[in-house]
Amino acid sequence: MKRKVGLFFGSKSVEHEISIITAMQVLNAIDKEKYEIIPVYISKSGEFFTGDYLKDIKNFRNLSLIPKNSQKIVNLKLNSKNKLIFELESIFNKKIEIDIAFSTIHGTYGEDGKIQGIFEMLNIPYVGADVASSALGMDKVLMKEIFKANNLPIVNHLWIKREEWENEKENVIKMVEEKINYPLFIKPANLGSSIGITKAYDRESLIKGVEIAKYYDRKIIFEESIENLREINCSVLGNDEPIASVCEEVKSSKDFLDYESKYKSKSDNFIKKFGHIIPANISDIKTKEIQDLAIKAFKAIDCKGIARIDFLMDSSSEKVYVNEINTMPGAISFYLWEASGIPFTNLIDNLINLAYEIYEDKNKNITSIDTDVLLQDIRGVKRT
Amino acid sequence: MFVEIDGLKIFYNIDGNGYPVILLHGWGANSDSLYPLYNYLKNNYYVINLDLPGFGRSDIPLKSLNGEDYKNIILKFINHLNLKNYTIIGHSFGGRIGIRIAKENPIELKSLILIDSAGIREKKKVKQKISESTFKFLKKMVLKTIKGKNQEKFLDKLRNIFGSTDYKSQKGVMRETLVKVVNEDLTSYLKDIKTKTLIIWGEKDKELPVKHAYIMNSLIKNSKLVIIKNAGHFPFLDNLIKVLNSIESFLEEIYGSNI
Repeated sequence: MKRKVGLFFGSKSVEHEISIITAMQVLNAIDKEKYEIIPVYISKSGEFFTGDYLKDIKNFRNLSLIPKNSQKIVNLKLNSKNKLIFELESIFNKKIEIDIAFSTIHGTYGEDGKIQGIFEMLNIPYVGADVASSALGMDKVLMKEIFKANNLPIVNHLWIKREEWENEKENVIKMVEEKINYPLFIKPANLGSSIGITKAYDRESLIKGVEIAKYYDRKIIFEESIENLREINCSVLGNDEPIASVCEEVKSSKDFLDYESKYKSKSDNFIKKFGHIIPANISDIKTKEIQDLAIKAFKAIDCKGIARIDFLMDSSSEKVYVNEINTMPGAISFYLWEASGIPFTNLIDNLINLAYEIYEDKNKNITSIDTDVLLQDIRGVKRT
Repeated sequence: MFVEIDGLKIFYNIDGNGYPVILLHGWGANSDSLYPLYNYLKNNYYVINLDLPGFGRSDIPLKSLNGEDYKNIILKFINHLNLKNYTIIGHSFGGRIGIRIAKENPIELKSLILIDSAGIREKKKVKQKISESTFKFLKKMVLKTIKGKNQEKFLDKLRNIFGSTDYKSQKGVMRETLVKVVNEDLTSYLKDIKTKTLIIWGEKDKELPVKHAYIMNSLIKNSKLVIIKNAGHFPFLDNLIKVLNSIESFLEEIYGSNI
């Protein structure tokens, strides 16, 4: 029997559209002999929809037509066979069930542990990082703290809260300039895809950068810029004993990759996009070093399934820094795995198998114990 | 790289350091099909991935080969590269060659890994028997009734209707080779293998059923079996991590962990 895979995408995220592209890529690549895909589109306002209309990328050109052409999911619940049931908004009380959840949501409300929390509570298998690792991968401040604690090389940085900026701007500027050399980056703590990121060369652009970043998150990071920068990415696949993919080098015509150059150049075709060199033109020793660091970073946040780890390399000294980990990388990094010998279709098989491994392992855990604690006379509680 | 064995140019790739691991691919494939294994095993081993004669970039033999011929070519290849303390990993048809080599227990063969290996000939199913006898009957009719140029044409049509996918996709010498090779039953060889053997099998293999894994495991004396759940005939594609972990921990037992 075919496994029913609920493919969750969209959501309340600035990377909403990118998530739709990734979902459609998965839909095209998945082995339809083995799996049946149930699309679950989460709108920008957070409503859940399903239906075949959501299987065609063309139908996402006009998002306002979606509610009319698909079925709204009004309730998620678990049945006795551990299948997740979607109750649809219809007079016939229609229901759809899935065996496993696969979220291709990038960014907030999907890559940050929130939707993973729903899957955990409903106890169904799901692809990719769990609640904690997703949350750590999304919050750049916490991520850097964990990397530091694991002796991973990271660039010089500091962070503030939005209200610190609002209340004591002068102090913040002083602190940043003391600790970090220009040019530097200003980033919201919890976003991917370069949205809200500015490169500052002086005080004036520093102020401007914070004024942008503060709209995206309550935590703002300042990060020293690596000049003579080369950007190398590497994907990691697995659970407890993961493996690393070949490395790619991302060439950018601009100073850094902003949202437009990361996703929009050369139509929407992610792979043909100008500037991805696979494998990266670096020595075997450097490749090995980066792959080892990628696995270390993956393990540091206790990640599951897949991730892409982005590195910054100073091209003169060849020193490498871990920049960030993406627990739901764009296009699921399938192009890096194809270059490593695993076709996209099989990458999806791997991810689903890894999800079941975690699920079976988790359900061995003890989650309840027999206790008489509620029967005892608890101080402060009157017994009747 | 190429090397010439018995007048046939054989293509191969080598990478990594450590004990030698030779990869033998399946029918109709070439060394690329084992690239994920090659790519990850080279971190700890000296891995040799070759195109078998008749496949990929290697020469097509002038006359059809049988399993024994393949075995001899691979042994000469191993000899030529002067490999010592080696392991053979055979997938599908490549497993047949591995079984033939291991049966002779060459001193330098340290271990054998069979992945969804061919070698056990199943009793034909009723459907297959009917299909075969229909083919034979029709073939006879064609030979009797149609003469000249058209005869071969009709026979080809019949072969295309009744032949297996592998059979249909091959031409000439390799078609004859396939007929020779698939009809060889190696079941009786298995009990002679003394080499430590790891058997890996995709639970849902439709080409070679998992039943064969259990038979091989019970007949080979020093063997271990790992079944890969939810995987098919190419378990290293469906669940690479599981397959790699099984291979690596097995090889660590064979060679020790200080590689």
